[in-house]
Amino acid sequence: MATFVLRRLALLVPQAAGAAFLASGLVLLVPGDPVALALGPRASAERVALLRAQLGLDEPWPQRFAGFLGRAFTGDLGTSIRGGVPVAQEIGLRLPATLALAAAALALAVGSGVTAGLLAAAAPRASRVITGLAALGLAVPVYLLAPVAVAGTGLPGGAAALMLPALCVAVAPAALLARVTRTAVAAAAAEPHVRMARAKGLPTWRIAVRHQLPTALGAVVTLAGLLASALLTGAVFVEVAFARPGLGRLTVDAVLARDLPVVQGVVLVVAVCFLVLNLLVDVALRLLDPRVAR
Amino acid sequence: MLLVPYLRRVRLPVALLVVVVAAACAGPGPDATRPGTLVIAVGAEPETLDPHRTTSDVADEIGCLVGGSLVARDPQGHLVPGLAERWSASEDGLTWTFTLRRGVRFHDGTPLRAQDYAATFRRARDPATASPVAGDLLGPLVAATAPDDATLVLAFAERFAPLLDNLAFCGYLQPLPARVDGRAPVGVGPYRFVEWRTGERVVLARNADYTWGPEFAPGPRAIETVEYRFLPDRATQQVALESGEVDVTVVAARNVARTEGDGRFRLYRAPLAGAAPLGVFNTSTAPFDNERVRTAFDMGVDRNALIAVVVRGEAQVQHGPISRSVRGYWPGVERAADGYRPEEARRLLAEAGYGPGNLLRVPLLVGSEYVADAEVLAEQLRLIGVEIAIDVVDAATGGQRILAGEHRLALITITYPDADILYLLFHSTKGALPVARLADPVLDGLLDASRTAVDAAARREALDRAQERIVARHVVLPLYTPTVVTAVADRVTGVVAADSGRPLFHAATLRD
Repeated sequence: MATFVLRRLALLVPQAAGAAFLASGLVLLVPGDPVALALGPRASAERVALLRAQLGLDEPWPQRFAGFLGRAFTGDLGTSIRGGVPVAQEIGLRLPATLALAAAALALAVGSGVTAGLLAAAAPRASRVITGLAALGLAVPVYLLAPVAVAGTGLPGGAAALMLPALCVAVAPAALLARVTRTAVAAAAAEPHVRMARAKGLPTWRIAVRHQLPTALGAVVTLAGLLASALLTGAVFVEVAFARPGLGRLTVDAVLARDLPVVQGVVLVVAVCFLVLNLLVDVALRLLDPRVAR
Repeated sequence: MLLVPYLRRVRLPVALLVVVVAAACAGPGPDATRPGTLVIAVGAEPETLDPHRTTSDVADEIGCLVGGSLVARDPQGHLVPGLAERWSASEDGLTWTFTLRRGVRFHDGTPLRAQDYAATFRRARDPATASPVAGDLLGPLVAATAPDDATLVLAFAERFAPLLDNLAFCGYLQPLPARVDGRAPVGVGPYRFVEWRTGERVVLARNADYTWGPEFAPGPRAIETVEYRFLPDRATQQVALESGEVDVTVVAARNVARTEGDGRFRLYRAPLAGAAPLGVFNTSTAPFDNERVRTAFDMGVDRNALIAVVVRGEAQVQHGPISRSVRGYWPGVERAADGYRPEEARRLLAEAGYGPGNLLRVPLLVGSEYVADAEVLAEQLRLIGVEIAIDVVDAATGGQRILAGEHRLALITITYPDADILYLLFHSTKGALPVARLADPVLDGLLDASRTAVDAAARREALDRAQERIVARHVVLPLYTPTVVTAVADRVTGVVAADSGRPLFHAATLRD
């Protein structure tokens, strides 16, 4: 296990760098000059040239990117083009809010999704209701749900300031988790050890929780890991509607302004989070089912 | 039957979930507006509060509360002494001397000296600062010096007529301390900075020592705390206004009737200082190198219908390149305008060689905010025999294509308080934003004169003639000036409407 974790940690650096490379390369492909945008229409040509030189934009891009990566190791993610603010500071100001929202949403989604999925697998009558609700949950887009929630409750304060947006974000993941849990738990019903348990005359709920759920957990953990990564920058609609700070809004604004240093920095940080989460999921899978390691 | 024992088993998670949901819904509710705090909702969060590094209107607005300017603008729109008691210009108009008010202190207690102001202006002009707005507001400034603590001398390479108007930008051109922190600004204004919570709010507290304000608002303010809330979504702004969580916000056109009928708010209407949208022709290439075609477009647009459909009447018809609310507006454009004459437009197009046999097809470049305008325009122009292809792009792409001259007709946004914008848009060689690509020596001459005029009357005359020329040659397709409707909660009293119609809060108090 230790070698596995170490090997994966060593791979993390090139993987994160690759993700940041691709993302910033894509931004370069779209038209729009970040310097002209940042300085506004009134800037003279000399001023634009000067800022380009200051930002290193006159160097070839691969060279610039190499410099960015080198400095990133020391914690310096560069300076934003709009406003000249350190990118690490921009991210640091928003990361706690993003992590809190993602954690709350994930807890809600896993709690309700797995419970509902288990219920649906064990009780055929509940199944129909839950499957229907899950389909609804997947069908309602969050960009509709969030403004409706705000219109219904006003801007929430206190504990609800986190929980209400988290609820909106959690709806679709919960629905997805419910369906996957139901299917995986139902599939496990055909396993020999479950047949054995049934033959012993154990109650249905006991079989579901003790014998079917552990077998199904692999699929659930994998999906939860993927959903958690998507939550890091995917909460942008909720962030806008609830006026919450977050990495999603930062990324969208930076892309619209072609603020390359910010895009690079956010992608690098999110990629590292994603890879760490993935690693945790793989470790969890190995602990749940030793066969995975073989 | 199966469900019952099962429910017993999952009781705990279900119960937890119910508790969580209940907490989310019931919560302590929105943190009700505290007495003594004026809460202003704005859409866009500034990227920095360093006045020299920002392009944000909100940063300038916050900067005006934290700082101040040499010259102030009173509610009637006149220039009055601000941080400078008086000023004078040299005979040749190249050197300006300002005498600073005494007793002014930064929020950290340091007295404001003329040397600080000189250093501030040098910083704004320093290429290393790369200032997008503040640096340019100083025009051809070559030196800022302070012979003594109370005297500031500004030297210019050439006459710069917009100087005093520009110096009244109290956010951008406020005096700065030796060390500038864009996250925690320090200034000399009626409010001092308290905190900035990214993505949420900026909080300012009253400066009780403030005694150096301009004549119309000399002393400390009555309102203890001012809070700027960043609510990027228009719908959220409206909800926050109606729930009493914010006191001031700009209301979207579709919500104006609803807010007006509510009875708990007063609405202030101010025409936008600028033009949004303004149609610009690329006059360097077909079909708009032909003045007849440009004239036909001007006559083929029914602006009143456009306003009624797109902004529900919350706008004024615009006839020239700048709106009535921009300083230096020439009312003569209203007489010079062609009006809606579709028959005449069709005839002009036929003269230019376009008609059913040779259909005129024009791409219309717009940002996503003007799609509705573009659709109405396309329909109106279809009636005079023009086929419009709407091309929606994001701001960055649109800006680049217009500056490269790749557009034919585009809808752009201009927000600028002074007619000096004409120089930037229409001077064929020195304009920074050549949207029309028109090489007209007469117009260039008038715009040069507007910058180097010896006195206000001469500058005014040059700007008037420039607007006349732009309208006569149909360089732009003026459409309308949207009305900015600001709602202010009833508990805010003593609000003064500026000459522009905008609410001013310097004399405001809060009723509890």
